[in-house]
Amino acid sequence: MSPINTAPVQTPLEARAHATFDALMRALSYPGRPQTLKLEDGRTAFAAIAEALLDLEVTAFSTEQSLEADLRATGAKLVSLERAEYVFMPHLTEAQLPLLQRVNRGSTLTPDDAATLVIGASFAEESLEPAQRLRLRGPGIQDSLEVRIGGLPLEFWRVREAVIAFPIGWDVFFVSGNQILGLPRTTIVEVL
Amino acid sequence: MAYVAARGGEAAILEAERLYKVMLGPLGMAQVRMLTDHLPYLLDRVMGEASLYAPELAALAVAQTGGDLYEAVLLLRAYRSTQPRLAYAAPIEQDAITTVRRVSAAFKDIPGGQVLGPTLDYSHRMLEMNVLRGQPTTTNSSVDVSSTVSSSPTVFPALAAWQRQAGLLPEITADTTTPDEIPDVTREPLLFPVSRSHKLQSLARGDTGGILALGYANMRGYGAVHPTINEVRLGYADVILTHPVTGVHFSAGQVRVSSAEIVTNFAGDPHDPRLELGFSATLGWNEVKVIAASMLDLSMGKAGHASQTPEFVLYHTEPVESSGFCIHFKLPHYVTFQSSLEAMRGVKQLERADDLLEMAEKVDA
Amino acid sequence: MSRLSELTHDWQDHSYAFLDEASKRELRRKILKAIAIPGYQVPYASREVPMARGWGTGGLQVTLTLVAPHDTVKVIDQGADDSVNAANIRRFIARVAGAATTTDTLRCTLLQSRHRIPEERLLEGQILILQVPEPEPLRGVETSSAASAVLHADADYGLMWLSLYEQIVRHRRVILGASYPVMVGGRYIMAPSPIPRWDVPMLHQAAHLTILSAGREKRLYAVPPYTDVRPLEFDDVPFRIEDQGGEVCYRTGAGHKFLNELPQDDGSSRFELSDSGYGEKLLRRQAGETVEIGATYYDERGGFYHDDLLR
Repeated sequence: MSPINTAPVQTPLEARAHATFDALMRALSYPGRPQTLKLEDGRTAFAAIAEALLDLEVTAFSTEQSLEADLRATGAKLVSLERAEYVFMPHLTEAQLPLLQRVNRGSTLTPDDAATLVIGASFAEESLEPAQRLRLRGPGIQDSLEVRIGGLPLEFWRVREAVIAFPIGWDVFFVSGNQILGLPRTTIVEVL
Repeated sequence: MAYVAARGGEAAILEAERLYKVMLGPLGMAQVRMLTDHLPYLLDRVMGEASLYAPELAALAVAQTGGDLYEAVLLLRAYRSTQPRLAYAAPIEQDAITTVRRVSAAFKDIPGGQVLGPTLDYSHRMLEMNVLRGQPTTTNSSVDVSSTVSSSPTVFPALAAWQRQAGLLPEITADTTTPDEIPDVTREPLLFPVSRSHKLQSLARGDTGGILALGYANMRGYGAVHPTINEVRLGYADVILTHPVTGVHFSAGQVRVSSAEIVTNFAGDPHDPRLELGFSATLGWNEVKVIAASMLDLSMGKAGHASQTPEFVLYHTEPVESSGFCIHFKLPHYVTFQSSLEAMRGVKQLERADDLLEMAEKVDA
Repeated sequence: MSRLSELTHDWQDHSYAFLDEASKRELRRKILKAIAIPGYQVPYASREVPMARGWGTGGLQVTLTLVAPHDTVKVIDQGADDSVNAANIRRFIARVAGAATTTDTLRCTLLQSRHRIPEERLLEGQILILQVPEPEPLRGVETSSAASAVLHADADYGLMWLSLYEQIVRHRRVILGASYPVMVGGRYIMAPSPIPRWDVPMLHQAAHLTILSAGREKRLYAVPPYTDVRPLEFDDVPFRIEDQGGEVCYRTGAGHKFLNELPQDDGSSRFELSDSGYGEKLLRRQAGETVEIGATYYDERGGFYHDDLLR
């Protein structure tokens, strides 16, 4: 047996992808608590998330063409919204809200088939945009948690509530600059 | 540290491994070469179960584990899972396999002819005692086998193709699934109901002994199928890749493969009965395995004994999973044992309390 | 565009933490799904690793995906850091990931365990990875995994309740030992892995994330922090943790903790703490060292730290 004498080291890409995933995992484990991504060279959080999660085994969709090169670079297949396992919506507009109803929500037999959404929003404290006050409850939240999330059509929250019938439903990562905030399908959102 | 050090677990496992290696003796290229040169059927079996075609690595795995085949397969599988996927090879067609042996039990003669090829089937199974007396047998290379090779064609059609033409087997439509879209049991878990690709892949890398045991159970009477061997084939198949830049198809090399077709009659419409085909193929030459596996392919999914249900067959013939789980019972289980012991003592206590109560009532009476 | 220098690196026998990036990405995707659907068993490919199936390969794949050079890893088997298999897994993780190791529950960032949860409470940010031999809690009442998947989909748990009821009719109590079935988030019945009943309440409304992974059966699932995990029980036959019979650890004097029974030559038994890292710290404190010991799930009088769970 040839002994492995020294522990291998992470390549820069591995280290970066690992750190991004760590933030995603903590964001989803503690919904509503922003996590910070380390972004280099003007990379967007969307590209960083794609790099950590996507490869040629999965499918993706983006509402913005500008993001498609980043998605394609991972090897992921760009497909229609209905078939996409990862859906990127950097600027969710009022007009795009109906798209949310076409996203794969999974089934009771395979709720893990549901898509994961990555949506641009603003929740950083210094943000000047008007934000919606929300009260979150559910797994990952001790009792309840109040957060402010802006940069989204207000209707978003009604649409989300309408499509989720646990375990059916999709999970969201909100992106605001280099910050991410997780909202799994289990989180109950009360608009204040 | 005193609390943990008292058990010396870490030192103990290092010593135990060292003792094993001392008893096995030093390992060198000589052992690896001896295995690749002289035990090809052993390596074929290991490579098939590992689903990694690499004779030198298989020889190293067998040598390193002292011939413990389950350990050897695990070594190769663990190595395999570190290797990136660079490309998808084209499917291998039966009639493109350079065939050295193909026999059919269904007909006296078949298109292309019966080719016995290399086999021990008709040998007298007697130990060659002369070897022990220092008189080696003549080596393979000194025998001129060119006449037997050149006397027959090297590629043969599948017998099933003839049966299909003759209307004995149902027509099949060409499958347009591209190689990268074929479900891959090494990249995704086996789920039920099982896809046919997962079924055939699982059989291909199944434990030879396990596949034989369940296949035999089906042949012997637990299955509802009375099989005839259409053909058993041993040969060399080209691994055809597509050049990523030029798009040219080229052979990256050849692998030893074996395949078997089995048919049963009176399938389908009772008024228009057809034959039904069972198929299996694996890396390496392993006739017992492909015959038993094609039997299982045919009988799986037919209602009946557990040995015919895909879940039962495919889960329990997985060599790495079954052997690993079997030996894991050597691990300490004292916490779980303690927990169930407590539950059992609890029940005993309830019973004892009852007995005392009953006695007390009798005394009162 | 990636720079060419980013795509190449010096030759290594295998990737950092053994698994290649593609395997890790698959596990990342599945772990996120598991967190989003608490208690649901997510199927995953489960690559072979250099350890036999059934020896913690599921937990190991999760740990290898989560570990980074700055992590501190603790590995226990039956509660003990020095159990041979725990020692082996810890040695492997340190060897392929260069992570620090510890026996102190308070200091670890990742804790891989077989059959136990430590007595000291895990905190926010720590991750507990439980090795799972049998992820399907319904296997005892439904052998087919295809059929049990449908039962989970329909939340049709009648068979499970019936089997508990039958145990009570027959033995006047639930006779399950370890691996006691729990209801997660009010939706999924889950196998908590073969931890003793003593440990089951520790999963309820915990501050930490728990990931459970079965390598051989190719399923992983999670209990996010602050999630309801309730053992199955009837109103009139409540769930019961193991009765420690008032025994205390013969080395530390600690009571109201999970104890190993050690049979003695004279036919009697004596008892020691199952949690070796905790025991070690108690002994060091008794020897006069300054040792930080965390709050425990069960207090000195046996009271559990959440008061809404054990009746």
